Amino acid sequence: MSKAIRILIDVLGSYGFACIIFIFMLILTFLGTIEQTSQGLFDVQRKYFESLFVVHWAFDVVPIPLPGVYLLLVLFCINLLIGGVVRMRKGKNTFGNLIVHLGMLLMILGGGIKYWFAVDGHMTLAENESSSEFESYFLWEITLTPAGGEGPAVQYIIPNEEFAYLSPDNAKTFTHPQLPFDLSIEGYQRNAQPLPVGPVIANSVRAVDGFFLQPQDLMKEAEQNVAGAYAVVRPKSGGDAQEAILWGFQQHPAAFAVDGATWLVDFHKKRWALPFAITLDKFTHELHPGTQMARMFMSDVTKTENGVEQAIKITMNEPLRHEGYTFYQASWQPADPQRGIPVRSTLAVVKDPADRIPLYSCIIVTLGLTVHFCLKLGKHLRREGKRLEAKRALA
Amino acid sequence: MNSSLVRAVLALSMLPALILSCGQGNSVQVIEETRQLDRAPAPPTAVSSAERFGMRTPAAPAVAGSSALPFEWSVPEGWTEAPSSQMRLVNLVPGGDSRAECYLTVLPGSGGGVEANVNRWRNQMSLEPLSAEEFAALPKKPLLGEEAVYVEFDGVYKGMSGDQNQPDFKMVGLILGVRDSGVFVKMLGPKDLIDKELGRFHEFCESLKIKQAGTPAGSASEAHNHSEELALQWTAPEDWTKSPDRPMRAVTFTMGADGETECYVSVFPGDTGGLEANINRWAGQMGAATLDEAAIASLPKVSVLGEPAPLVEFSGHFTDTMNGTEIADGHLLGVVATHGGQSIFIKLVGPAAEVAAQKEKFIAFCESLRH
Repeated sequence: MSKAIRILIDVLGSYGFACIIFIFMLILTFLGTIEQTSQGLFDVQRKYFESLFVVHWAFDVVPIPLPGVYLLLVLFCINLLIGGVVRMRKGKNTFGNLIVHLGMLLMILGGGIKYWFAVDGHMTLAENESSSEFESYFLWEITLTPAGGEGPAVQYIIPNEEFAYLSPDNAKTFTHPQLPFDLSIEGYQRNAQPLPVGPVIANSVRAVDGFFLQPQDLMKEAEQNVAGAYAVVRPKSGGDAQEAILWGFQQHPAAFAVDGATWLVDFHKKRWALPFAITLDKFTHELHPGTQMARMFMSDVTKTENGVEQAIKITMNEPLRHEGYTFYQASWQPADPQRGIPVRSTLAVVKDPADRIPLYSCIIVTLGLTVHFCLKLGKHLRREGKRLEAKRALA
Repeated sequence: MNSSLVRAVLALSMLPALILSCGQGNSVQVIEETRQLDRAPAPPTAVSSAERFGMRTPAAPAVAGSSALPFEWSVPEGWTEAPSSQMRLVNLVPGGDSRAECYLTVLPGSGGGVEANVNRWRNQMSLEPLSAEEFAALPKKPLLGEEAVYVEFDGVYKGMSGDQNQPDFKMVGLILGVRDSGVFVKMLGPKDLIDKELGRFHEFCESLKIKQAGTPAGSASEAHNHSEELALQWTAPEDWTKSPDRPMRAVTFTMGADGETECYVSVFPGDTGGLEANINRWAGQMGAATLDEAAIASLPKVSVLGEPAPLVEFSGHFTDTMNGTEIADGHLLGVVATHGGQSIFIKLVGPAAEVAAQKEKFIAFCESLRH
């Protein structure tokens, strides 16, 4: 092995490197906690904890580049593997530590699996309503669907990560060999409101069909942001470009006529299909007497899968777990009789392959600490025993 | 150990530069994700952007006295009409010059009062707010049969969101506060253009009128009125006295020994901010605690135009910031209903004892509404 690689491995597996990582983690946790009071959990989590690199602006003036927690955890994983497992002295005295380190590695791995593969969202139902999909709290998607025609159709999906990083000043074009047009997403805003233009405003904003997108301040609760963008469809056959505003709360998709066919471009929260359907049979909620605080709420649902129905009760502490999905009773929406909207139950839905890993990791770490403690205790008792014997012998 | 530490710090410090040097991604992206649908959606009927965004469809350019609105007006010579909207019930282009605009807005609630709105306009023109004395000294001009505050400001227009910078602009306007509503007429544009159109602005304001209500027919216990939007009719209790027509009200009744207790019906387009906002606006007028969604959902209901509508009651010191009316030991009964895209407000307010005596009649009146 070359000298450089040996040095690199020495560094990556060193105790000092681990200390540096922990110091950075402490700093980032502190900064993220402070910033969360103004920015909200979602944005702070993405900025500090899900990034490779972050710039913290001290006093809003001085930029301080820092490694993100994602990068630190990757490095810590390498550090723990090299220094805490591979290079660790193996023996009776370090057996417990080895188990603890393996438990910690499992915890970090579980976090990685959750980050890369887990999805979460919600399903909101009124009584007697059914659904076989749930939608995200934060992520959007743009869908392109051909309208009309008989039989099945292919819907093209542009996921959140392909456009949500765009700023109002840049654009991105999406294409597909089977689409008769290219779609450009321009002027993307994380939180926007379409407003009608007036004669004065029309001079300074981009207007489409008498409306423009007014940027709004970002909400602290990220799920309250309603994104918007300008969509420009350019037919590949060379026809005129067509424009529309896409907005997260739009009640109808934008329709474009291209080469004699109608295409619907919709913009909504990202949806995932479930392999089964959930029907809300009854929603029960109680308030603490004399207050508006919820004491209990619960949903009686029927799960229908392959024609087989099963009645299930979902409460705040008793979720439904099935096929890797977990349904929690999260909240509820009061009725709005003026709009004909009844009371609705909101179920949080999570699909996390690493759902149980934190539990197993904690068990392993506890086991390792117990083993280490018992070994140390035994050693201490033996040493004390010998010392007392020696003392008696002298006496 | 020390050299290892140094190397570790150096390694970490180089990583940001490496990451920053990575590209931002392609500007053209091939869509990779697809989903199979069992059936293609049906071709949509033509939907305007206003309908897509859940807003009232802008009316077609209207001649004076559009049948869709409760107003009638004359378009000054040389001016053109633009599509109206939920916020701009009348929308005009002064002198046909797109650099200027003139519109009428009606908002339920006081919005903080006339003085606050004058200062909001001054802020849009990059001007300092007026003191109480300066506000009191502002001239008055007639609008819809009432005295409205008249303003004329020169300045740099920075827009409603503060994101514009238009120097040498002029704003003129009238703000009228009537019970439960604010009426705003505003003209804005380059100073030289607005100065030229000022006379026609006043002509337009003078031409603004509330459309005539239907004349009562039959016995005194039965009063009919036709809101052009909903063609509302009702049956009023015998001891209620119909008042002269007021701006922004379909009908007004007074009752009680001094006629201090008043009940009226107002109709506005759209949801006017939503149920919770409007109920809590009434709570604010009574100095009462606001209600959250759950509390509003549990309110008793009355049937208005065949649909259940919440009935709210507040007690306290009633203050109408728009016109300064106050009733100590007041009581308010209110119903907010929606029908056909319109919001219907039915409100009875007065001294607590009188309102309590009228409660059953108020409920019967609400349930008598029909169209």
